Amino acid sequence: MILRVAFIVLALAAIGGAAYTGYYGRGGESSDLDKSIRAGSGGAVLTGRVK
Amino acid sequence: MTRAPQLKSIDCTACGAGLDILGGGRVTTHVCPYCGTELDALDGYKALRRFGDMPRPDSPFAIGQAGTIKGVSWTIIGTLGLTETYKGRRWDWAEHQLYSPTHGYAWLTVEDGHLGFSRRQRRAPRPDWMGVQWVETSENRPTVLLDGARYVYYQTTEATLAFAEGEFTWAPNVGDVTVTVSALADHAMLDFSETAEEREIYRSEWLDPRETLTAFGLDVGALRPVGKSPLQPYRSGPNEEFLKLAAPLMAVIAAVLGLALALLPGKTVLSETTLRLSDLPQEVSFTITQPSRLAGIYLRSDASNSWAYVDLDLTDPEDETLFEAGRTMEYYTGSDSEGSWSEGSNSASLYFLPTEAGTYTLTLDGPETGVWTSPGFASRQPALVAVTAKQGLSSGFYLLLLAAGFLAVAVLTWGRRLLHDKARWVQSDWDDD
Repeated sequence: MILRVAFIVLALAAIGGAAYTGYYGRGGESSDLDKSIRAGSGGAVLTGRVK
Repeated sequence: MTRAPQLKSIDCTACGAGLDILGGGRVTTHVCPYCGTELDALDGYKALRRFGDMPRPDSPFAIGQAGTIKGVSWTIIGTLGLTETYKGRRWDWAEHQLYSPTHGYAWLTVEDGHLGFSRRQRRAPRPDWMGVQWVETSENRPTVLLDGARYVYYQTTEATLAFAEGEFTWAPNVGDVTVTVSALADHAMLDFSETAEEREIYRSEWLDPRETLTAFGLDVGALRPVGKSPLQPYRSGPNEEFLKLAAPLMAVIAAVLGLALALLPGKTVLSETTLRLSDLPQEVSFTITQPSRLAGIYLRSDASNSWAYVDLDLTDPEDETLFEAGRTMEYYTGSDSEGSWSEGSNSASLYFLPTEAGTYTLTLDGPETGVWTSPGFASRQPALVAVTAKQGLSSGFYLLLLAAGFLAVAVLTWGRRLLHDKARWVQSDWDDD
């Protein structure tokens, strides 16, 4: 029983923490900021990815 | 005709060895463990024939040992060694004839370190027999019903008797082949055995090796089970049923909250502002009033079977560069023999965490464009890019990550049973083709 209560308490705490940080946008930042992706530009035409 | 019930021991009429009489009144045959002679228990233990060079099966159990199985005291009165060879593979196992003065006869099977307990099934299942012909002509696995349980075809074995010693209620003949069709349910197996003389049904259940060895006074390490026995029922952990419900529930809660946060619309701080790519570099500014929340910049181009790329540079209220980035917008569409298709998107976005409240300036520069030209496909050189910005956004990333974790726990919990059943059925010889 203790394990079950501990699971629920920890799970809800984790959800609450993730919801709190998620509300303020943590985890939502673009990962490529401050990096130049110019070398990767050129679109799918140049890289031959177009169907 | 039966033996004298007061008989406790005899001397082998072939070799003179002293033999204990352990079985009950239905014993008809006694195979001397010393000389391999089959003695007729119903006719003064007259020697009938002699079996030579019999390979003893691998089993920690021996005649004369007694132990309790399922609350009943049983004595081992006989041992058989059986073997089957199929497609180059060979299986060997031992079957010990058990006797209880109150419960009659049963079998203790030892194979791959697993133990099975079998008793004659007097009441017939529905339908009453599963034979080789049914198995070979059926398109689906043959199934019979007994006591509310569904027994599904498992395998057909052709077992050759290779060893016999002790007392039996029938006359074992080394070299005889018995064909057995087995059908498996969750907690038991039905064996439909057929020889040239008779057919009978046995019901087998799994025995815990440690418990059984202990009950017979043997070392618990005497058996080392290999893999899963088809007889082995599933044993769930103490919190498994709880986790089966709690983990998916937490996954749903986390996923719903995560999606809700991800879909929060935020507040527009820069209405759609359209710029000509040919006019870049251009600056647009917007004011952030909620610096503790996520902000987003959204781009949209007029590309059609073409692409457009722009460099982005954002400066904060202190006129310090917050980040540099770039985004490509590309959109392709057409039709082929499979119908219409499209890929890519005219939109792009990026998200950042503001450092403070104030006016942020986005510089768009370095545009590049390209057109995909192919016969029959209209294309347009991108000329415009529209910019929008929002603040007060949220992220469902960590909640969705958490949901995935809870889902993994749920899958493992539910999958444990599936893996167990798969292991039980792995030796089934049924082929759907």
